Amino acid sequence: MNTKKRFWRCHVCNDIHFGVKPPEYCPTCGMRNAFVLSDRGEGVRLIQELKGKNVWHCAECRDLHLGAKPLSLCPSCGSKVKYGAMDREEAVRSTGDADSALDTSEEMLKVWDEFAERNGRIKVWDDRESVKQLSVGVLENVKSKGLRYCPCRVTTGDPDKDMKLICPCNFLAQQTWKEYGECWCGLFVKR
Amino acid sequence: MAEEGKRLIWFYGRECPHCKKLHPIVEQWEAQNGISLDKLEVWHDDKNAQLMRKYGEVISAACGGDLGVPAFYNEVTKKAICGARVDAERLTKWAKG
Repeated sequence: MNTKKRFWRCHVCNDIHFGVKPPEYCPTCGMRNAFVLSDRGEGVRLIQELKGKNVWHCAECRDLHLGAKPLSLCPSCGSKVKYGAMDREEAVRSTGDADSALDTSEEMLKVWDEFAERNGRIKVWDDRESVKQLSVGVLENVKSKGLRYCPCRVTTGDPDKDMKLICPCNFLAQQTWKEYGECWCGLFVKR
Repeated sequence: MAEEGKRLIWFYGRECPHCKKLHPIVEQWEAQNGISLDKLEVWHDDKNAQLMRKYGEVISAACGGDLGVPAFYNEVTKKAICGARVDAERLTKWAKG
């Protein structure tokens, strides 16, 4: 079992959790198994820039959570002590230099597979060649635009709107998911 | 290439798998219909992305609410079609207005 604290992101509402494990239920949107493994670059950027949310920390193990509401149970240590509010920059500093970047296609594919497996209701597109192409696009977008944007969407130039395009996005709300059971780019499909 | 304002534009992304799959279908459709689309890549060319944003309202509506690729915009009729399920029949209908 991995005991290192890592960054996790809710694909529905962009809550960020820094801890050994992500919360089972997102405290902000209530979605179950919605957290996908993220990395320091993305996690820190959202902690610094995502509006309308606060950073909370566990008094026991110092897990961090960026969300609209604090967690009532820490997923890492199991503490029921309420999460306390924390300054955003202090929160970033407290994560030290932990976590390495997800910067290869192989890592992205592994992250997406694990996310789908943990979620239980979705799976990754079985066209592995296309999935690899998507991972290349996502990584290109990190280099050129700074975040892991979907290569089948187009940024608007409005940072708040564009944060909704980080892959995996909230595909559950998309018309293609409702009609065909697949996200816009086809990366995730209903089981 | 048609003059600005009269173009049939295909906005695509270099790493979009649906765009890649559409390429041979579009090329065959162009050859069969004697029509040439302006093919504009939007993730690696900011000018193309800006043009797409200019037509953003119509394209977003066709893409289910957000800008996405593959997207086709007709500058004459100001109509757009979008997504993985674009085929030759839909292209013809879109191009001929």
